[in-house]
Amino acid sequence: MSLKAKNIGLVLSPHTIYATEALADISLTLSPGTILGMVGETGSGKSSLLQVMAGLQPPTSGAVTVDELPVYGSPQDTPQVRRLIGISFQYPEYQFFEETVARELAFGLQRQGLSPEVVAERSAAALHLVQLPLSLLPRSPFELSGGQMRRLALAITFSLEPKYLLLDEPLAGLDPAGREAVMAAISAYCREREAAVLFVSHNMEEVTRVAHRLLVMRQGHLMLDATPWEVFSHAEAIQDAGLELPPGYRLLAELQQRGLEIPPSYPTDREQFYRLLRNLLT
Amino acid sequence: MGILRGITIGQHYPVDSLLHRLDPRTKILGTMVYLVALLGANDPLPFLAVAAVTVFLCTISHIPWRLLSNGLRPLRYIIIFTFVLHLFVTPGGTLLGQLGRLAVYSGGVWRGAQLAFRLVLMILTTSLLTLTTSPIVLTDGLERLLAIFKPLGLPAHELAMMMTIALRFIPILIEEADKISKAQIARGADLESGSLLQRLQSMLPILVPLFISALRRADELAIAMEARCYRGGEGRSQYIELSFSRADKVALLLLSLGLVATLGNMLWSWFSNGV
Repeated sequence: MSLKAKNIGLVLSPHTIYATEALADISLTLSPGTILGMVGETGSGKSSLLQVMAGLQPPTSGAVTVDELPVYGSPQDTPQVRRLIGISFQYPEYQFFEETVARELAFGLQRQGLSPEVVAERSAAALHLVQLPLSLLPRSPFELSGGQMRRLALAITFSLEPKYLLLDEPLAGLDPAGREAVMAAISAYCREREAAVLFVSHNMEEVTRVAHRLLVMRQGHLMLDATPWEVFSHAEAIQDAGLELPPGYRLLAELQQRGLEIPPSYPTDREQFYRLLRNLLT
Repeated sequence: MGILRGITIGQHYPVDSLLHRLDPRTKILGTMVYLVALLGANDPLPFLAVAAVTVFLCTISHIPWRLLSNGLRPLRYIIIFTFVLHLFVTPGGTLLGQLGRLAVYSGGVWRGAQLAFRLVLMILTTSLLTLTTSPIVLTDGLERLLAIFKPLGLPAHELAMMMTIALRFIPILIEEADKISKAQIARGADLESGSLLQRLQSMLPILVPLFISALRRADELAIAMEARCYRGGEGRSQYIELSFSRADKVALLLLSLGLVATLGNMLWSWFSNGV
């Protein structure tokens, strides 16, 4: 039971002089209960890959399956595929169109044929997950602050309760408090729903705080697919991909280069990182 | 959103060719003369001459035929409709066949084919203008041509600037519409089934965000232009000045000859029909 991409290739604007290879031979598996972080430069194919995996952009070659069901199979399966996979695009708050927050949340839920009680229940639960007060329900979504809008947009995706959740730059343009709230919501959703999350970001430091595995994209190729610690041991590959190691890992890499032995378990939070540093320096 | 992908209005195809290098003013005037010639060509011989000119221009433009024919695709029903309509309503010539009250005469076949081909040629040549000329250069040329009417109070620069912006925004808005519709589909929107009314209603989740974003972009663009002290065309200089090359002079000479020939042909057929 997983969301699988196999040998995905994607050529945009084929047969013209603008033809570009956006994705080349990419295979990856997204399993429930895990958070995958995806990093890469602008134009490295992150968003294209997300759209291919969500069933919104048919690949030129290769196949995508969700729980053994082909994502680009018969139209009869499409509603089920859409229900299993949730996607939130960059700046998802630009999709709002309803008059109230409540109706914005209800839009997708009603289309799943749920009763008004269930719709209200799920809406409230989703708002709770992103730490927005229920008092916002009768307000217009366009009156909210930027951070609140982003959290509402994510709440909409959460409320549909997808088993596989694809998020494109959910943290872009948020202030530190907003980032914390969104990251906490993503972790909570993954834990509570036993869901799989694929989470795209520019910022390595942030991704590593929540991700179990890290994918590094470069020019349409999947360069690395490993635990964050393993990824960070490939300092050169990361630089080639136009990315920067988080400061703490830059320090560790520097120490390792100077001959210090570093244990192969990676520090997952600040506490562990300090403990490791203390051990290394004494 | 396959429909949106097919839109090629104002599309520019940047390769090197004689047509690409011509001054935009030559090309705009050329298109105008061409359209007059096309509408005036009623007899077989002038019509074939105009068609030959079109094929010649398409060939020297170095633009793939595939791209040119793609531009015709959105209008194929109109072209077919034109042909069929004239097939049945034009009397004259010999009777070719009859189906109840519908009769097809040889005159109808000729007339229908001529009008359908005229549409095809018109689309080909006008799309050749935008395909070989980048939007900025095109509006530059238009501004210079419209400047003749400035003494009459025509805001030439403002019109050209509006056109530049509109052309620039077409691909952006198409991409945006594509993205928004994908996002709403992922939220459970159904854009493809249901009655006509239901489908119109299902466009709402796409149109509202699209309008909001278009207005936001317009607002941001206005602020950015003001921040750079844009204040209309008064005293504005240009980075690349347009100038006529020798090829332009030759082309303009050929155009004048074409115009004389067209007018001569029109006058001649008018008199010979009148008498």
